[in-house]
Parts: sequence; C-alpha cells; structure tokens
Amino acid sequence: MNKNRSWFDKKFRVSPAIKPIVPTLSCLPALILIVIFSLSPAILNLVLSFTDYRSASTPFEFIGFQNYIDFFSLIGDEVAEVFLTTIKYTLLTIFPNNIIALLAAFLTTRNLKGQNFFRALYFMPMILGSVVVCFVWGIILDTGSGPMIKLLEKFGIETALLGDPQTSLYWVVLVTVWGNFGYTMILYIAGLQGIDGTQYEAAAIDGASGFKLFWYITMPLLKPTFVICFWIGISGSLGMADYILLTTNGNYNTETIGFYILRMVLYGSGTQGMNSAIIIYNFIFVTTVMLVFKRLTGGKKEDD
Amino acid sequence: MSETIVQKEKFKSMRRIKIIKTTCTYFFLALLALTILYPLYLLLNISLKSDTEFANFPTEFVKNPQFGNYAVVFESMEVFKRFFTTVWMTAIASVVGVGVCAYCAFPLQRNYFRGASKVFTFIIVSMYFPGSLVANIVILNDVMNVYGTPIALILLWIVGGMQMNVFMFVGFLKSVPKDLDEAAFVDGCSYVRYVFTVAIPLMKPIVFTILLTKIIGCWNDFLGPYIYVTDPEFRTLSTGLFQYKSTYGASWNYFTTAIFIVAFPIIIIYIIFQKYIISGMIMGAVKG
Amino acid sequence: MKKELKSLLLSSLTFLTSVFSVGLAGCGNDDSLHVINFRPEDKAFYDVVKEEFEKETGKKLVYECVDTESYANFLTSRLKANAVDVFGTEPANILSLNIFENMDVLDDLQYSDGTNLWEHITDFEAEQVTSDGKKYLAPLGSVNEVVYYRKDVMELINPAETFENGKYPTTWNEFVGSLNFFKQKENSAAIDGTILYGGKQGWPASMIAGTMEVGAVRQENPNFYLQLAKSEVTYDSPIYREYLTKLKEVCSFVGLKQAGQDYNLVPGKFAREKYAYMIDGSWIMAQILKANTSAEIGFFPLPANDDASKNNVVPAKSGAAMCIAKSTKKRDLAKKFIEILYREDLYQQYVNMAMVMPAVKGVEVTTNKEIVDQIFAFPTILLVENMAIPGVPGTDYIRQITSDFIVSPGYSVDSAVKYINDPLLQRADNWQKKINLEPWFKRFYPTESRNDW
Repeated sequence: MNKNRSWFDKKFRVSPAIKPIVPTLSCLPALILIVIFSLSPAILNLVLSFTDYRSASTPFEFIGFQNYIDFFSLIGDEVAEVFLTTIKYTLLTIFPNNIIALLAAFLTTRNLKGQNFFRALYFMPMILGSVVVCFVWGIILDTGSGPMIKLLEKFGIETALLGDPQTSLYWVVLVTVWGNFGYTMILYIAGLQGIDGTQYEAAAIDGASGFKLFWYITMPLLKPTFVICFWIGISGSLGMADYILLTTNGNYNTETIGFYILRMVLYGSGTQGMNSAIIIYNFIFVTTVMLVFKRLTGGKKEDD
Repeated sequence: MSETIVQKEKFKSMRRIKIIKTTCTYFFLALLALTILYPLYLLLNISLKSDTEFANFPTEFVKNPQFGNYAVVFESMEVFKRFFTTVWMTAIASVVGVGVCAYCAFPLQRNYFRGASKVFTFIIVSMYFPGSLVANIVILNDVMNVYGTPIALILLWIVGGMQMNVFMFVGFLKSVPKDLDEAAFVDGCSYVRYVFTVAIPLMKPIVFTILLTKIIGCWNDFLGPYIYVTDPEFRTLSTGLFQYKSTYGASWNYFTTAIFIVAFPIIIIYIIFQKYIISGMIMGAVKG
Repeated sequence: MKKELKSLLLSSLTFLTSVFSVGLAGCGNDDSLHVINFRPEDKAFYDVVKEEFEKETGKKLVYECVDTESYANFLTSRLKANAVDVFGTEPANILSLNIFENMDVLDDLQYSDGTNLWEHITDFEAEQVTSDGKKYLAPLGSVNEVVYYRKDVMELINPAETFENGKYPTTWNEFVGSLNFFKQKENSAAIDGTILYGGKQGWPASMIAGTMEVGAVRQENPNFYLQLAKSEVTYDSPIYREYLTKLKEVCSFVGLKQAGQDYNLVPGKFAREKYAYMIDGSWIMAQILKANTSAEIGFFPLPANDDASKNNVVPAKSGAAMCIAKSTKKRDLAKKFIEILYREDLYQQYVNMAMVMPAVKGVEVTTNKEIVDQIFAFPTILLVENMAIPGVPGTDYIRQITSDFIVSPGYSVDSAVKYINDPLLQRADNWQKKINLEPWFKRFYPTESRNDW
C-alpha cells in the first residue's frame, strides 16, 4: 500500500510530523563522516585557540581571548601583506583559468576532428598532479639554465622570474593556471553537454547565429556551471598552499594565507594556541567570502 | 536567375567564414597544446638521460638515450605490487565516495525534510573547517584504532573533497526533473533503486567527472599513504615515486621516469571515462 | 519501505563491523622495528644495515625514508601516533620542543668493543646532542660551509702573487679585491660570473650569512651572543653593523637574476660554467663529483675578518642523527640498530658514501678523492643558526636580510639593523616565557676545533 504513494504526497501530508524516512536517512553516511573528520578537528582547533598550548608535555592554561587580541599586535602587520597577496593571487588565477577553460571547452565541442586528442592533452596537467607540475615548471623557470629565461632574453627582458619579488607572483599564477585549467575545462564540457540542442534550433530559426548564439543562449544556460567553477576557483585559491610551497616556498612576496598557516604550524615558534587562533580567523574570513558569493549568485533556495 | 547567383554568393561567403572559423579554432587549440606539450617533452627528455648527462646538460636534448632507466625504475620501485594495492584502494575509495555524495545530494536538493537547506549550508560551511593532522591521528588511532591499516587511508580518501562533491551533485541535480521522480514512484520504484539506477545515470557527465577527479586525487596522493599506512605490504605507487625526488638533482632522471610510469594508468582511465563525460543528458525519457 | 530500511541498516552495520574488525585485528604491532629517516640518497647504505640487522637479530626492519622537504609532516604524524621506534633528524631539532619531547635518553649506547659509545664520539658532535648533561641523539657526521672556487678561473688573478698564502684570499681586503677583479672579468665576458648562487628556495641565503658571521662577529667578540642574551648589547652595535655592511657588499656581487635560480641545479652549473666562487656546503660534493668535469675545484673559509689568523675556521654543524622514540616498546632492538650503525666497517662505509665529517674519533673519510679529504681539514666552529641562544630571535631574520640585500640593492644597513633589532626589543617578554619553558638552552659557546684530538 505504501508503495503506491508518491513521495510528494508524503511531504504534504496533513501531519507534517511523519517525514519520509529513508530519503532523509540517505544524508546520514555523508553527515557522519563529515562530523567525524571535519567537525571534530574544527572543535579541537577552536578549543585550543583559547589556550596557550605548546605540546603534550608542557603545562598549558586557558587564556580566553588573549590570542585573538595579541594577533593584531604581534603578527598583524605580516598578515596584512599576506592577505593582500592572497586576494591578488585569487583574482589573477580565476579569470585566466575560467576564460581559457571555457574557450577550450567550447572549441572542442564543435565536432571538429581530433578534438578528443586536444581534450586529453589539456587534461594532462591534472593527471600529473601538483608536485610534478611544480617540478617541471621549476626547471623551466630556472634562471640558470631554464628555457624561459633564454626566451625572454632574446626579447631583451631582464628578470629573475621566480626570484624577483615584483614578478614572482605572476609566474606562480601562470603555473597554477597551467595546472588547473584542465579540470575547469572538463566542468565546462559537462555543463555544455547538458544544454538541450532544441534551444539552438529554436534560436537559429529566429535568425541568430554565431556569436549571438553563444552570448544569448549558451552563456545564460551555463550559469550553474559558472557558479560552480568560480566557487571552486575562489575557495581553492584562498586555501592554496601546494603550488606556493613547491614553486617558491613562500619567498619573494608569494605567501598566501593558506601557505602562511602551513608555515606557522610546521615551523613557527609561536604556541599552538596562537596558530589555532590564526586558523579560526582564516575560517571566518573564508566562510564570509563564500557565503557572500553564495548570496550573490542565487540566494539560499534555487528557484524551480 | 539572379536569385540563384545571390544564393550562390551567400553560400560561398558562408563557406569562407566557416573555413576561417575552423582555421582560427585549430590555431588556438594548437597554441594551447604547445604550452602543454613542451613541459611534457622536457620530462620525457630528462627521463632518458643518465646521471652524468643530466648533471652536465639539464635541459638540452638528450644525446644518449637510456631506455634502461625504465627497467631500473620498474624493478626498484616494485611497480606491480604497488600497482595492485593502489588500484584496489583507489577503486573502493572513489566508488564509495562518489556514491555516498550522490546519495546524500538527493534529499538536500529535493527538500525531503524540513531543514534540508540548513543541512546543506552546514555541509558547505564545513568545507572550510580547518583540518588538523593531530586530530586526524587521534581519531584514527585512539578512537577507531585503524591507524596504520589501509582502512584509515580509504576513509580519509572518501572524506576528502566530499563536501565539494555534494555541492556539485546538488547543482547538477537540478537538471533531473522532479516529474521523473514522480513518474518512477507512481510506477512503484523504490527510492534507493530509483537513485542508483535512474537518477545517477542521468547525470553521467558530472558523475564521471567527479569520479575521475577522485581517482586522480587518490592515485597521486603521496603524503597520505606515508603518514597513515605503516604496513609495508600496503605501499602505494605514488609514495614509491618520491624515493627518487631527492634534493640536489641527484636522481631526477629516475624521478621523471617514475612519473610516466605512475601517470600511464590514469591516462588510460581518462580516455575510457571521456566517453561518459561527454555523453549528453537523455531527455527523451520524460518527453517521449 | 520496511524492506529498504532493513537493507540500509544491514549494509551500514556490515560496513561498520568490517571497519572495526580490521582495526582491532590489524593494528596489533608486529615484531619488526620501524625506522624513518629523511635522506633518500642514503638508502643504499641503509639496505646494507638492514641486512646486517636482520641477520643478527632475526627480526625484520622496516625502513622508510622521505625527501627532506616532506619530512617534517611525516615525522610529526608518526610521532603523534606512536608508530615509530627509531627516527632520524637534524640535531638542531633538539631545540624544537615538539620533537625533543619524543627523544629518549641514549647514554647507554655501546661501541663495538664494549665500551660506552660516547667515549668515541668527538666533542664537537657530542656537544650538539647534549641537553642537561644527557645525550638525546646519536650523531652520524658533520657538514660545513665554505667558499668553493674554480682553479682555472682563479688563475686569472694570479694567486701566487696576489694572495698572501699564494692560493686563495685569507683576509677581507683580499677577498673583496678578488670579488671586484672577477666582477670586471664578468662584465667583459671573460668568465660567466662572480658568485654562483641558487636562491629560489630561499634558504640558501643563510649560507652566505652563516659563513660571513664567523669571521665578522664571533671571531671579533666570542661573547657577543652571550651579551645579547643578557641584554647587555643589542643588534644595533658597531660589530654587528660592520657585519651587515660586509654582508651587503658581498651580496652586491650576486645579482638579482640568481635569486631565481634553482639551488638543486647549482652544483652541476658550477662544474660546467666559469664562475669564480660559490658559497655552499660540503654536502654538494657528491653532485660536483657526479658532473665528472675536468675543472679543478678548491675551497676556503670565507675570510670576513681583517686579520688572517682569525679566518681559518669554517662553520659546521652536525648533519644527521638517529634518535630512539620515547614511546617505543622495542628499545633493545632500537639500541641494537643504532649500535650496528657505528660498527667500524659500516660506519666507514657511511662516512665515505655521505661524505660527512666523521662523528667517531679516529675515523677519516677515505674516498681517495683529494677534494673530499681536503674539505674536512679545516678547524670547525659551530654554525650560528645551530647555537642555542636564549632570548635571541632565530635565523629567519638574517636569512631574510641576506635575501633582501640580493634582490633589492637599495635595502640599507640601517633598515636591516632595525628589522632584526625590533623583535629583540619588542618581544622581550615573549622570549622570556620561551626561556622559562625551555631551560635546556645552555649552550652558546663555540666548540674547539676537531684538530685538537
């Protein structure tokens, strides 16, 4: 008897206390894992940020908000610069990444010959992984014997590439975009594939063609994909430590917040309590940015 | 008569435009491909050099190719044993991981219970919760007592990126229409069966994208297996890769050789998955 | 729906039980000894040790090593999980609380002839691994930092006539004079460069600073750091200013472009191209030899002092050491493992392969390569960044200063002094807290040279 009732009926039953059970339960495995592996470390960090914990064998005590206040006087200046670098880095990586990826995705869905080969090629950097990508670009960008410096010198440009505090960040951005645009491209391909062909037919009948077709039909329909790609891009860049660690090790003005935290935790001489306070501050910052982004791109509920 | 001439002219100019468009497309694609091919060529170049040749000429074209490097790396890295371990661990982690995320996305997107959107927001926010190595170890070691076994690693692999995957599934689930749900339930299909046999296959592009990303992430992860798996019987391929990455460029030729060996299976998987990623949505089921 | 619930419950139950059963069963510690270390270059040697160990004790040895960059993470996690018995680390980590608290006391190690091991370890090494009178690490060898030079490039300056000892500069004036000479040669394209430097990774800047500090600071005033710790002086004092001025001058010969050079590729480049000097450590000998070049290479201590007699020491530090984890349950096996490392034939093998200054008295490096034997002939003094100086900020500051001198020629000595002095003044109370927590900061005197035993 239950089988014949649709789940919509259950939702709008007179007594809302009875909810559909099994679908609700289907969130559970994911939620349990998240609670165990995400929530507990977060709570640990939160608790530690109110202490001056150093290590397991030294005594520590709860010092309340002292860490949060000391943050501004002790390391506030350093962090301001790191913060600006992070924003610069984020903006500089998102736009080239998405533009190149969208172009590549679009051009390889035109049913040309050999497009599968191009797609596979553009995805190669993702297959290699961040360590290998930084390794090979480290060789290319080496000012001693690398090909890039030789190429630039032919044009008369003198630079220290990754060693110059003025330009180092731009080269790290280049490496990041090179390494990541393949993934964004795949997302755009998946998005483009979901667009119904009938829309194009209808528009063509009305006389639209080429660029107009792209701008007025494809772009709006790609909006969900845009949201996802920008979301991934922003949150990835804000927390990025991998590429920075492996290319410049944070030197020459390339420290982002993610890397700064990594360095503080591994090699810093401050207390673990202060490190946790920094982490909590970072969390507040990133969450605010992402929630603002979410609100800007569609609000809490999707409109069906 | 003049109409046909006008038509013919139009036809010619349309063809010309098409040729220009195609040439431009190929030009751009080739340019981009060049930026990818050059570093790959560099890696291949280094992998074929001997130690002394690399020390003397790091970036020039290899003069004395040592194909034997591949055999040396194959043997010293115990490729077959590690390959087998990595394959089954990655397979479990990615399939279970993607399945759990997709399964979880349903009630959140379809609003099956009150507060579904709040739970969704919680999941998104938890993506930014600061993780901690110490906490992970405490949980895996003291609480669950699985530290050191491959189960620990698989669990962490499942959880890695889970929130982002849920977010993406919720986003792409919008394009599976609710009418389809209703139609299925009216026909007597059970919920679980519906999700796994009808809804998820409809989202093939994104499912295979996420699966691919997860497989690549697990396959290339080298720090995880080192930290969480202590049993030498369960070593993975990418950890073997890093025994060559010493400083001072000592065995970088073996390192690049190992890179190709480790990346090869993933390339095969990508080629297989590509077919599914670019398959379109089957709208006919509802319309027809 | 009941059927679905049942199947759901069943599947989740099986999953959970499988997880815990594997956990309960599989985590029983096996008999083998777990060793972790951080130099993949040494793996071949440790394979030999493994054979020896397994032959003698009949127990298995699990040896894992990671490249140096990823080692910090790896070590911390294994220590936290109590999953390691013996670990390798740099003796400088005795000053790092997180790692130090895991080190077990090693006073009872025995040498192959039955006597206590510590009677055979050089004072230089023993001093770096001692805290509160007890020994916490088993040192394996020392490395030093010198100025490498190419003899064919040096010929251009006619060393027999220009330098006092006829081979290389031994006073500050001679050194700066040679730098200017080579700079002219570089400008006229007769040679490829004056000082070769690979600064991309950031830390190599500390080698320039470290080699200069010996002659400029400690040889002038051996008690400078002690006075610094007692707040009798600050960094804003004439001796330190002079040091920074000299540092700035040397850095001006490096050039911005080299700040982007990969440190790993520098030894090969020095063997290939004609650079006059390279300030680097003894650990790159293996790389230089591998390049198999015909160029002859020599080295000398960086003469930062005006007095030649004070420039005869090189800064050195203990490079690698083994510790026993406090939480280990197999201390006897761990002890055996370390004792095997010090056996005459094995230790000689290690010293020759790794090319380090031996930690055991009476052992010499016997690679039959002249260059290797010579590099360890200089008397040594402890590298400043390895000195435990209470109340004094760490080496990050001087490294950053050096790097800034190289990339920003406009960076002045005044700004540098302010940069390193401010933390000392402002964070005085924090440093006081640190001293109270770490009362083993007692060593800050340089040691005797190894030629005295």
